[in-house]
Amino acid sequence: MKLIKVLVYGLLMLLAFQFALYLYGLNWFDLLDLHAMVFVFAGLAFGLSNHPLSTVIRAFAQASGLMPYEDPPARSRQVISGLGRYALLSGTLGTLLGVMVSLMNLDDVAALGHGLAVSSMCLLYALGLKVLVFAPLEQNLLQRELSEGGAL
Amino acid sequence: MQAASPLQSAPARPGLLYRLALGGFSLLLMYYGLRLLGLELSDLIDISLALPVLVSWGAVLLFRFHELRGIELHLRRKPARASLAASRQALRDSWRHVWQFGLLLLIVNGVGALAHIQDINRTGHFTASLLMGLIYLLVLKALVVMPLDIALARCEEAERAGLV
Repeated sequence: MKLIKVLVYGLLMLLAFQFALYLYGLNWFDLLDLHAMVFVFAGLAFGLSNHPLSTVIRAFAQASGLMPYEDPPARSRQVISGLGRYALLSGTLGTLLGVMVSLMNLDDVAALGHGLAVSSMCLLYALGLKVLVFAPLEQNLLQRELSEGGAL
Repeated sequence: MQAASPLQSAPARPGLLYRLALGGFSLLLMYYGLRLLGLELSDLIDISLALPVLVSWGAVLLFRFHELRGIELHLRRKPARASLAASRQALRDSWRHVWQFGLLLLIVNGVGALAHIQDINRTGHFTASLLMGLIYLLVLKALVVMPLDIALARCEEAERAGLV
């Protein structure tokens, strides 16, 4: 039942997003931007370096329900929330750099537009990762933590 | 569900080689991103903002020396004068201090940008410098404060589990 709910919710979100893209005259390929991907991925890679890889994999597997809870949920939640914060930080960094590039090229409209596009995409990727990936996983772990706390 | 043994519940620390490899890789990737944007590292050096941020950081280090020295000692699992909780709090306080001081500087910079509003290039330069200040603060948080906070949280968990 939960899976159906998630699927219906996801489908509705997808349709709403597609509608918004249609209104702005964009398509999905317009949302691919190498610069922004590099920034957000670099931030995530740095966030990963704070935890052993096995801990990160276990945290993701536990949060998505693919693995039984070997580690305490609080620890896994800390890992996932840390990665989410790093995604947001790197997205913000990319956004600021994009705006900075725009401001340094006020005379050149093409460079100005490019810088602003990169800055928006960085923010979009970071928020997308946080809202669509890290926040639901964190929520799963929090519920598990609370239910374990209640059981005790 | 089977209860975890104390040994299983010990939080694992990342290896030095792993940290260096992944940290170095991510910094290289960031540099590549900068180059893709057409920026050089020298474009990101703005002494007028970097220096005050560093000086304020140094002032905090001096005023709360024992707690901040405790961070290093706790991370190396050595006895320290300040407790682990006090050290973690000092780290957060010092970050808040630097952040607030940085924001103050950025406001001054913003006023400078508005004062030269008739010269669009000068205003652009001031605003770019303002953003640079924000970038410095974010980099400080990402590279120093957050990794230390995560490591201290790990120590705290180990201490709670009675492993230290």
